[in-house]
Amino acid sequence: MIELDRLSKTYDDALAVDRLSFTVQTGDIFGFIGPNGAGKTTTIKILATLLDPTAGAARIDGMSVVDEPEAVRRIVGFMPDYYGVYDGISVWEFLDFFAATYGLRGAQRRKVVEDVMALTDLAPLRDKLMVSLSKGMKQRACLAKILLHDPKVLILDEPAAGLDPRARIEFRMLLKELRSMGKTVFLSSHILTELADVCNRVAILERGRLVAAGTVDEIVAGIAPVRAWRFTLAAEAPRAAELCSKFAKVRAATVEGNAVRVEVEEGCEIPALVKVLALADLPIVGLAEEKIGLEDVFMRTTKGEVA
Amino acid sequence: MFPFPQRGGTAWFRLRTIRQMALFAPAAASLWRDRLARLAALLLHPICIREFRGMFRSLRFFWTYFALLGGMGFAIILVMLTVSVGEVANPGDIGFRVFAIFCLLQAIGLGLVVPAIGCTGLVAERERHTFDLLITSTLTPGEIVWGKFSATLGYSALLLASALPLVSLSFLFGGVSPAMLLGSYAVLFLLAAFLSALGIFVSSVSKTYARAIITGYILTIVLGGFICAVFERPLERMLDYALLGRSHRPWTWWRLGGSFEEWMGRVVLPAYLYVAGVAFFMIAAANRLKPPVANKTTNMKLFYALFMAAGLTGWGVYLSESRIAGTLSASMHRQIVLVCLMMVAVLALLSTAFACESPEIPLRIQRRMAAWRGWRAWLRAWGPGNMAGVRFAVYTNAALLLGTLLFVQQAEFGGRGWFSDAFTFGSGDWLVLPATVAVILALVYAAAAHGAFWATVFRKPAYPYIVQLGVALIALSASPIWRGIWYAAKPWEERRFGRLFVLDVTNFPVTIASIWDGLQNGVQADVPYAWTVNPDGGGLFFDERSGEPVLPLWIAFVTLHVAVGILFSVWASHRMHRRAAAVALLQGAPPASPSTGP
Repeated sequence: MIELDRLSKTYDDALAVDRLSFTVQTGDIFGFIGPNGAGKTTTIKILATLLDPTAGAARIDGMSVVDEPEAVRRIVGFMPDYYGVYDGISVWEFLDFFAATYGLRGAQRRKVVEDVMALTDLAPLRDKLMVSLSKGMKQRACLAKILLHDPKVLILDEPAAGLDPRARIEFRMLLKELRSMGKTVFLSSHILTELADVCNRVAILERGRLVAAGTVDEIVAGIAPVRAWRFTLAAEAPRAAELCSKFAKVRAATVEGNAVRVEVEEGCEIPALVKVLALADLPIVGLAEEKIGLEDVFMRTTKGEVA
Repeated sequence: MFPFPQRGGTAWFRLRTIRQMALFAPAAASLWRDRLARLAALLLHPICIREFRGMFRSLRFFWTYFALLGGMGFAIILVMLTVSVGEVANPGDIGFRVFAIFCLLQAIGLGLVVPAIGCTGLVAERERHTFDLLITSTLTPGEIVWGKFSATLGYSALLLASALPLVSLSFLFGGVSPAMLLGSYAVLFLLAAFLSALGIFVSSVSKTYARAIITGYILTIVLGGFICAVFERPLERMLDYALLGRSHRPWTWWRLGGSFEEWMGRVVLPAYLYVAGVAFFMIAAANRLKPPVANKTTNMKLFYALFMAAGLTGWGVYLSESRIAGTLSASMHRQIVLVCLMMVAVLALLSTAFACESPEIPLRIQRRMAAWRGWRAWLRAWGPGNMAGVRFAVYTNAALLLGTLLFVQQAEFGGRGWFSDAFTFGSGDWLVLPATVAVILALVYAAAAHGAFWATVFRKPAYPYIVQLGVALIALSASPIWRGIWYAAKPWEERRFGRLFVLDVTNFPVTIASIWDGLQNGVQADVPYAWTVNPDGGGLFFDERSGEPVLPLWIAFVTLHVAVGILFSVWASHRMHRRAAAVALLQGAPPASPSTGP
């Protein structure tokens, strides 16, 4: 649905996006991750036809964002990272206005607005002024706005920024529902746990370059074929860590209070390690495997450099 | 028996035509319905509707209109005081002068208001961070520009419409025909359209609100010459009449001699320049919005330089041609030059403010200037980023303007003052001012109350327009329609004065003064008109020549306005109260259904 082919963008002498290439399939919820200044917003603005790329190509549903921007806008719903609202108009009027800008007329427009308000749970707020809404409600209204013309692709730039936990959960549920409706969602976020829960594929960007792309498991397997185990001990955690670090195929062992976190490569014999610790008179009171999450992947793949 | 006529002849032809019309009526109706729907969509553009909703709900809108209408009313008081009765041949001339000055004030009002609205149209979207939402919709750049343009034009049209009750003041004196009214309003509307297009262009190229406003006003002043050249005849005559009280009538440019040169010079070329100017602004603005919008790198300094050159050339051409053609007297020329000098002073002020606003001044220059001491510290006041410079410029220019005005008063009026030509009626003088003030306050109150009403009407923007226009037209037509009815009811001999006389209605304040004089002294006041009170004939409340009840009519007129004003105020406050209660309920009460997400 979305294809980027060696996409590059420069601002004067600064290279914001450097030969970016990846593909987003239809029905994906695609997470776009990167530190500040990595080039996420620039890429998103190119996809939203707000910026011209310096080199390379970007296509949405087979249409070039450079050559056919009007056609692309018809199938894309774009929510910018920071947006304002109009003074003096209510939620219903806000949505009615944008429905009109998408060419909807009369009864059809009213029906679409009502449907979208129902979908996004905005119906109780229909007569509230937009300026009086909370951040979460504004976010919801903006999401409702981009659904008005029933786009195939939703491009969301930092949609969960500034939301409270409840609003985030609701927003995540809404995204899943949109996915079930067949929409392709392309979103960027700094809140990695959000993306891990909701995205089926991610791309990690740093200094304008693509560091990794794929499912979280694929990336984990690709960048670091390791697993982590947590040994909780009754006492003498430092001695246990020292013993663990000398064991075969153990990459690292770190003390975390009464526990030792051990990162091991594939093929490491955990039962043998348990036995070693038991023989050394280090009683283990708890043992659990730690799942390597998106945050770990992000920290391992990026260095915090800015383009 | 079949009731319709037999076959053949004109009657059958008519019948057949009616039958055909009946057959094709549904299709024709559908076609016209589609056409009307398209026209309505064009006129009631979504952006236009949204802008209206936002604007009409703001208190700023109400106060702006109130200030403008109040200012106009106040200006009319000054005009009435400065018009000398002895100078004019009939009351129609007073009415016409009031009307001319009113049109001039409307033009100035448009010059003040339209740039402020138009220039912020698109830049406000940027500053509000709604621009990306708008530009990524399926509206084309042309549609966005049209929407902003129509909103600005609608605002201007509302200003013109809401001033109609005040314009009707000129009907108190007469001398203004409906054709003149329509003609002058057409000219003002075209002027508003030009300024709106200019404003939209400026807003499309500006990055900040402040810069857009300042640039807009500078360009309006600079392009004033161009505008005058385009609207040469009406504006020139407007100025001529307003400042000098010439007896010739403006807004009659369509009654030309018929020579090709005159038509080309007076109509075709100005029309071409006008259309080309508006089209340039609109197309240039739309081009700036074409995607991708962030890549536009046009050097706007070049545009501004061209505008400066065009505007100053326009001023030069306008002044020179008028002087050479003899349509401008030496005194008039002097006064226009004075106006130009004032504009240059304002331009200097705005340019200074513009320079101070500019954020691109290198820091090293600012630091160097900050170190200046002694006499150079004075220069620092004009430095970039220094608000003291702006204040200094304001004070300097204000002093310059005041000094110029005092100088002109001394030179032109022999030090007698602006109000030296006031009415001279004897003991009834003192009634002229309060009576006029009462009429004007009533009219201003009614018109301002319309604004309050507008501010509370939300969903259907077309309805308030209709209501506003309807009320304004009622107010406007109150005088001539009632007088028309009155005259129609009288014997035809008394209608021999014709249509103009119907419109040449009695000057209410002057009549009051005359009545007072009559009561006090038992004689008619020293008024150079034949239409004063005849105590032996029609009585105190009747006009001698027409026999009409002057005072009751005008009391009814003023009462109507006040009643309309009160009605609208009550309605507005009621709606606002209801809305406030609804908002409080929404904010205080729990939502109808728990918002737990889908």
